[in-house]
Amino acid sequence: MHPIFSARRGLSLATAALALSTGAHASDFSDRFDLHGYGHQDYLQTTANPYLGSDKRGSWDSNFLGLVMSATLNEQSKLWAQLESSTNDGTRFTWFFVDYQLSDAARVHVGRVKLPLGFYNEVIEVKSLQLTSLLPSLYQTAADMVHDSYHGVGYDYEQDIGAGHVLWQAWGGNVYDVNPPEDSRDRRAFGGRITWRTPVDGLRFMLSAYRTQVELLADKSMSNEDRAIVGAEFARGSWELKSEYAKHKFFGVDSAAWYVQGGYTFNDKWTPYARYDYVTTDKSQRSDPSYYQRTGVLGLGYKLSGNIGLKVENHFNRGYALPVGSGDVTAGAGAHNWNLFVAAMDFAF
Amino acid sequence: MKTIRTLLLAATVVAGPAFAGDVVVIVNKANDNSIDKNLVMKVYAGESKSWANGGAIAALDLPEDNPARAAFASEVMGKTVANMKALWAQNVFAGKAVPPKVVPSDDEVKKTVAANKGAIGYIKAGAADDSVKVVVK
Repeated sequence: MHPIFSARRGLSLATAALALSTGAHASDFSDRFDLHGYGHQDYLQTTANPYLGSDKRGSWDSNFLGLVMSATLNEQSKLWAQLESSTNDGTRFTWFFVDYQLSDAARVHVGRVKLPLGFYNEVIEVKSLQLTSLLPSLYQTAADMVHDSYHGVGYDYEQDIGAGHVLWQAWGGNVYDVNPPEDSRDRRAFGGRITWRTPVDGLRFMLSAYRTQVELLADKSMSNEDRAIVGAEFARGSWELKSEYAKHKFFGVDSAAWYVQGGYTFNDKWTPYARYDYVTTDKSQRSDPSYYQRTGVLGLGYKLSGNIGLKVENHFNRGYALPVGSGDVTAGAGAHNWNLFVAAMDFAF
Repeated sequence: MKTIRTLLLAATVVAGPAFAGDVVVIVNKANDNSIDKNLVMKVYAGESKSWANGGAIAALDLPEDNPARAAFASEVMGKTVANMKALWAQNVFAGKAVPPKVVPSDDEVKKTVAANKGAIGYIKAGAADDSVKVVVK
């Protein structure tokens, strides 16, 4: 995309966002219809290994706008849809599904549904809900550890247990790939997630996994691809601490990633935060900087208003697995030590 | 000077945290469900959407600048208003639940609850009257 066009588009999105965000509440057209939105505009500057639209001079190429609509069909069912527009993936419906309430504890959804995986996947682009501006490695497309959505059926069940509350989720269908691999098709999948909210206020644990069965076009054979994430979160008052570990296995290649991050909010405005993040896209080559990346993140968030936030952060990187995974840098040709600076405005309404 | 300081301190202590213990949760008088604080917390966290005896729950919220909203968030939910906003943003953007409808005042909450059997809301304690049923104090 031409940088000038992209910068203008980013500014337009930012202007639209500010205009929309000044209204403190969602556009409530009627009791049956709800409209909300979110987005961000990033500035990215890197010392080497440009990816995610970054470059050495600084780039405004990364921006995003999402609209979430819901319509009540009847007392039990609701229609949900999310339309998003971004520099990377153009404009598309990320998900649209009918949600049917079987009981107060159980519900079924059918359509293109957000894939329940890890803590972040269902709000992967909603930066206002995330401590840092750039997502942990395991959620970045370059790491290939998560998919956005699936076409199929999902079932959720909420259960109060003696020690807290558990949300059980199971689903099956086909994963939805925005850019599917050219050498495979028919990505049938099934998986689930268990989220346990403990009796300790703010403490949650999560286990999630899914398997995709991929048909390789070369020989029409089927192969399994497995992904799993476990995590823990403590979010109470001004504190947010989170850690997740992810594994991915496909065709003899094992990859893994984990992170631990924390932040503290002062006066409901300022949030200093830090993260340590590790990813290897091929465990058999994890001593090669093309296949691992260790990142320390230091940043500061500022809440401009209830709906608009600003973040600045620096990523101190060793290894460049993600730029290689994104296809922007060739293995063996990157810089081992490099810094990525990010300034971002995010909004939600 | 010392007297003024003492008086100011005493006034602060008497006033206490804003609306401490001064928010009540109300439902329609015809609502015969068993409602406790735990259920209210689940409703306002987006985890409960229908009444045990049938029918959808229509939860109501007050504007952010209404002190009762902060009091409800801290006293009933154990959170800040910002925490609650983040929780509902998470629900909305994950496609799980839409936030409670915001109505402008205590009076509007009472009117809406009195007119809708499935409605639930909160108001400052002094605003409750016999047009609604108080379920959590």
